[in-house]
Amino acid sequence: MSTGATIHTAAPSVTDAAPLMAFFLVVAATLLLCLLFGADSEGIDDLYAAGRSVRPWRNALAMTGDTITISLLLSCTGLVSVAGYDGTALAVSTIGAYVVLQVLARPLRNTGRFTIGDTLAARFDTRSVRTAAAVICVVVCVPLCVVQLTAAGGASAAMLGLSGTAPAQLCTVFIGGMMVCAAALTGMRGNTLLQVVKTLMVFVCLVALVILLLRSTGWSPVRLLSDAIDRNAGPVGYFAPGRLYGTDLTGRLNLLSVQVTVVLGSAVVPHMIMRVKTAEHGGAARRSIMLATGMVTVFALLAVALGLGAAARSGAQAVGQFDLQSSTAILSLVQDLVAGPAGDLLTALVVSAVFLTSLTVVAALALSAGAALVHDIYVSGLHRGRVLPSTEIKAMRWATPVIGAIAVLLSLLAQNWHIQFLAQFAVSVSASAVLPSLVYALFWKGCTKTGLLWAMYTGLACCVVLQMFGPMVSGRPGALFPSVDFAWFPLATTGLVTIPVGFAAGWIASVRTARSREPDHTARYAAIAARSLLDRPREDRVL
Amino acid sequence: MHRTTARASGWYLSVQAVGWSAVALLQLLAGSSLANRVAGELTIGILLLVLLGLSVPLSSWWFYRATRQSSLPRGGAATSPARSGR
Repeated sequence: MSTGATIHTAAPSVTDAAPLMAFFLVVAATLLLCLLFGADSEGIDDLYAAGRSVRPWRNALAMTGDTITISLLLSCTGLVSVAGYDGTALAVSTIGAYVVLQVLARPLRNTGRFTIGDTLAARFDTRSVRTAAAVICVVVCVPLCVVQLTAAGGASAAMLGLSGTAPAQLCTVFIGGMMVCAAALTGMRGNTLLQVVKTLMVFVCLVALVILLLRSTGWSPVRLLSDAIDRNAGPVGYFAPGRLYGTDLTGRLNLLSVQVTVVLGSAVVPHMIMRVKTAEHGGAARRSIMLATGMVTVFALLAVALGLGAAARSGAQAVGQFDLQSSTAILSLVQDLVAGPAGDLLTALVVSAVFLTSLTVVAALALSAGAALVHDIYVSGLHRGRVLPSTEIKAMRWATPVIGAIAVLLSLLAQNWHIQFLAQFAVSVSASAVLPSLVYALFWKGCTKTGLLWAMYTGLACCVVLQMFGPMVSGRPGALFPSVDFAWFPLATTGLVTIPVGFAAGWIASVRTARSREPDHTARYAAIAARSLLDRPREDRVL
Repeated sequence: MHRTTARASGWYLSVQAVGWSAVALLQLLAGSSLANRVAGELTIGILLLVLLGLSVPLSSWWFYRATRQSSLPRGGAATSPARSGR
């Protein structure tokens, strides 16, 4: 959840050895887990879907981990403290993503084996559909990887007390290398465990911080709220919309666009869909999502409380002096709230949580992109499925590091560029291309193969064009190319336009090609509809 | 889609759509005389957001409970698509 508002100056530095020691302790533990679970992953079911045996509570924790990306963890608090209402609205939108996923969960789990391409191929098993799904998967995953790695490099360097570009690049390479190990060695089974550990660690950090914060206000949430209002008076009220994007119509539509995109897009990013497929059956997937919804709600409430705390104690202007995107607001709050050994311990915990967050999310993204390339294009597209499982696993062991290396290289090149908009772009593509295709393939009898392809490619093309000519790429100080101006599209996040366009393109193309349907069109829909309701539990190993 | 699931999905998505639309409308109207009369400095907006945030997990729980029994019998498709409401 990143926005267009970027403020760069020096971040607070930590000179104690505790964060560094904690950092390396977590690295060592992570490597150990990678090696342990690397040996345990045997079949392709293990590699892509953790053997389809993850129980609901663990799956819910892992899903929550997938949702809590480094941008969300670091910028959520900063956005609430700086933007008041707008930040809170974006935090709540993250919970809203699960509204969509709750309805899609059972059919998604019960149809198709591992990837988005598999789910769509259950309805239209053609090379073109699988290729389109794989292309979109890579277009979503690689930019998200780059944003996560860049943010993680900068944040880790700042939290370890290092400043400048070179340490940030070093941290990026280090985290990238670890991510390659985690993704290539452990597969989905190991990633699930790492996500569970990370989610628990994040919750421990946030709960401890909120308890300390409430203690400092005499256990009065009302005082916290009134202090935040009192310290942040301005032309736009702290609890009125408009502090983030402005109060004119464009600003309001911008806020609405971000919310719509987050609600509809975060639910169907490729790594979340792969996560749904690790459940034992459709019912278990739905239960996992119900539990994860509760966990993400708790996370959002904690983040909002910490954001209000930062605004109440330091004031929004002071928080905004740090980098708002890879925000160190949480760290400055730790240093403000508690001193001495307890402060060191908490700082060490926060640093470890940030490191683990970046590692697990990037590994999950690399795994999804690798699965799309290997399973959808190499195995199903090029070889028509006639590939031995051992060959597919070997191909995955190569594909994931290659994707990781590309992402690390791009992150290094983009270290000093304003690329945070790529996260919004990726989620917009999910909402505009993946969501329409999944909804049509799973729930609409009249959908045709051409309609599906039009929904995907039109949604994608629309996102690319509007983003390129939007305010995040040119024409303003925080843009990718601030010195030139070729922007004509006013919205920073394109979802408000591209999502309806994606749905409309799929519908129009399906209606216009209704006469050229395959002879088995109705039978295939009936089969997918029946299969989506058939919960077949897998009764082998349980994670 | 199974009739129970379809009905529950309809209710679930409708409730969410109404809630999110209300918040969106309040955001768009913020600062106008109508919104000021209704919500002051949008304190009601914050309240709505909190309610919405809590409504998602609560309605997810309701949706899960309502559709718990809506899958086909495990291991085989005993109910034809036509009979199950498609």
